[in-house]
Amino acid sequence: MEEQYEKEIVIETDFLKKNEQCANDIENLFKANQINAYDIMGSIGAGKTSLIIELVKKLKDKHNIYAIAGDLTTDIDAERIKEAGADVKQINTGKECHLDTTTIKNTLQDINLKEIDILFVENVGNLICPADYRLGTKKRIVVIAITEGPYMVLKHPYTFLSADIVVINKIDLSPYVGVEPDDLEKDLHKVNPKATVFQCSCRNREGIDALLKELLPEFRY
Amino acid sequence: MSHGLHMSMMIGEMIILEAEKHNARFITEIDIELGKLSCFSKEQIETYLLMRLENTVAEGAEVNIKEIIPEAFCETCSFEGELREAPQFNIGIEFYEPRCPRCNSSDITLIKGKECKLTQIKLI
Repeated sequence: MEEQYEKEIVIETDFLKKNEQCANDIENLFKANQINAYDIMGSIGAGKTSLIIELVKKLKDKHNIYAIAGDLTTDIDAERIKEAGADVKQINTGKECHLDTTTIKNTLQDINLKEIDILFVENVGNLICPADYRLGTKKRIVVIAITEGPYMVLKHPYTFLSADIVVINKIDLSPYVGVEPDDLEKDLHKVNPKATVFQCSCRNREGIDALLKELLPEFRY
Repeated sequence: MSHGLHMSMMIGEMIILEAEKHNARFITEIDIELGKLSCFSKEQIETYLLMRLENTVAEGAEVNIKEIIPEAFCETCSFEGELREAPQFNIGIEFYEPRCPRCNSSDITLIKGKECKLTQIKLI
C-alpha cells in the first residue's frame, strides 16, 4: 500500500492586511493630490448624508468638494449631496454591507483628483462591517443619532473604536427621546478615549462649525 | 453578502489554489488566526468556510481557528504586550480596554488583534 505523507504548507496570508495595504496606497494618493478625505460611517438614518450636506454648504464657495456615496440601492443620497453643491459619484453595493478599498480605488480612477480639495466618502449604513475596512481616508467619522437610543455605543464597540471623530447628531431631539448626549459621550470615552466627540444637530446646524474647525483648522468662514 | 461570508470565500479560494499548486489529494488541516478585535466571529468563519470547502479536496479537513488576544505598543511608556480585558463595560462580549495596562495612556498602537490570517494548511 502506498504510504501517505502529510506535508505542511506555510501560507501566512492576512486577508485584512491586504485591505490595509490598499488603504495605504489610497492614503498616499490623497496626500500626493493634497486631498483631505473623510470616511463617514453610521447606521441608516443617523444623518451621514445630512452631515455631508451641511459641510458642503459651508465649504463649497472656497473649496472643490467631491463625494462618493455608498449605498445598497438608489441614488437618493447622491442627488441630495449634489443639490447641496458637490460633485458626486454613486456606488451601489447591491448586497455588500460595506465599502472596501478595491471599490474606492476603482472609483478614484474615474475622478480627476487634481481638481478636488475635499472628499467625503459616505459608507454603507451599517455599524458593524465597515469597521474592519479602512479606506485610506485622513479621518474616520462615525455619526450616531440620539434617536438610536442610549446603548448604541456599547452595542457597537468595534466601530466606535475605529473612529477618529464621533458626531452625536439630532441632539435637538434629546428631550423628546429621553437620551442624553453626555451619557453617549461618556460611553464613547470608555470604548475609545482617543476619539474627538462633537454634539450636533444637522437640522439646526448646531455644532457644525466646531466640527469644521477640527476637520480643517485653517479654514476661515 | 455578509462580510464574514465574503472573507470565508476568499480563504476557501486560497486553500483550493494552494491544494492545486501542490497537487494535493486531500487537505487534512487548516490553521487560521483571528484577532479578537476583528469584526468576524470564529463560528461565522468556520461555518462559511466548511460550506465553501464541500465537494473539494479540503472537505472534511480539520479547521483550527486560534483567536488572537489584542496586543499594543504604548507611545507614552513603551510598554508592549496584551491589552487588559474590560469586563466592566458589561457589553456581553470580550472587549479590551483601549489603554496601556501599565501607565493607562490612551496613546497606544494596536500591533495584534485585528488579523484574519490563513497561517498554514496540511495536505497529502
